[in-house]
Amino acid sequence: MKSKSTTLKITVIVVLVALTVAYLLPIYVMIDNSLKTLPEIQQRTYMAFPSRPQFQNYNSALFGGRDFLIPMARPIINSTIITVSVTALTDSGYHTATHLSADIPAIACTK
Amino acid sequence: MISEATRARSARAQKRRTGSAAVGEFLVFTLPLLVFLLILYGTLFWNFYVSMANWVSTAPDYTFTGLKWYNYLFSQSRFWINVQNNLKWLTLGVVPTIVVAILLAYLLELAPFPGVESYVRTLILYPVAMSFVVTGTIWSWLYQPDRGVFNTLLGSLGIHSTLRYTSDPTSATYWLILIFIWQYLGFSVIIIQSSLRTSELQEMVEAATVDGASKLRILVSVIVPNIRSGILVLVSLLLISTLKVFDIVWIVTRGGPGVATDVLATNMIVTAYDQRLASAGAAIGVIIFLMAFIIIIPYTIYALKKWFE
Repeated sequence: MKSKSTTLKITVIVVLVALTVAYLLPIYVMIDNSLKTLPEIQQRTYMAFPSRPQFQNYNSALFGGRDFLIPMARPIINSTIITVSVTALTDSGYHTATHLSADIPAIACTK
Repeated sequence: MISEATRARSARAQKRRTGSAAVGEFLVFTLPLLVFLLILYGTLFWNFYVSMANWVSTAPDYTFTGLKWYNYLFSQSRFWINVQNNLKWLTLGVVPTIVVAILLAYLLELAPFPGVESYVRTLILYPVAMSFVVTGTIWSWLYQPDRGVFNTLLGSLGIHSTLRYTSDPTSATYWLILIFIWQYLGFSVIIIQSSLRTSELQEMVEAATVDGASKLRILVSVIVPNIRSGILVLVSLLLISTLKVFDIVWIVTRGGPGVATDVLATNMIVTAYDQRLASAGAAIGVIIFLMAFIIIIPYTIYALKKWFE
């Protein structure tokens, strides 16, 4: 299904640029604002670069701070516990089920 | 003699082993099923029962009132706005997503440059892993009418934008649905791509190319009819996601302006927990369940037909 026509190339490039803008703009806004101080975020100049980039928000988000009453460290640990145990349980359950169902015809034969 | 006794003993041991294995199997398969049935259907029937009771404050009241709370809901214009909005989500959240996903997946298959496909896949797949809370917050920044990102960008291009996005009651729901499409596009493209990659389909496309069919013609007449099963899976998954939509609406608009973007799920939370009308909230839950049921029936019939073919 490979093709070399020019219209196709132009279409692909246009779609590529449109998708890149549409999917990276929100990420840019998110990271850009994470480096600002809270008063600067509240000025609502979402596109502007932070006047003084700083990582204090990450520190207080993880370990608690004046504007972050719930430190994120514990929720992150909880999410990890849930993710790991659910993945392990569903996976082992799947293996048990396939293992047992592989045995069923053998049992049926012995009867 | 000895060999006879050993054989008998080993046969008995064999029987015992199969017996205990059978009991083990029985427990392995039925215990989870029982727990599952109890939790799923138990709470479901409990909800049905509460919706017909008279529970209006924090203290439970199980007096049977029949359809009182359903009549209460049906007499409110807010409820009918919710139903309309849910239907908008069900149609506009599913159909455009699938059309765009098919076009994009086909374009990626045709892409003449190496690496385009893996780049685009990574690019559009990352929102799937993000919570609707995060997406909703960022998009509410993008959508702000006065200083939001979109209107700032349009302004710097010299266009004075009068778009008010989610602050405009007549079009707010459509802007919310756009967020959903943005988030689920990558997921849909992956499913369509996997159904494009079968060898039978590749052969059919090659045959059509040899016959001189144009690319658009191949897409419409060869590819789309042959990836029906993939599209069907995608339709049902997207229908389920749009039916239970709650997070985007709650984070971006809270059902506002007024009740313009309110959906059944947000109304259920407000009714059951803010207004403390537990029975009315349960009734909305039952209505959401019935809507899901109506959507699932045709799919089940189709699946059963396939099964017995």
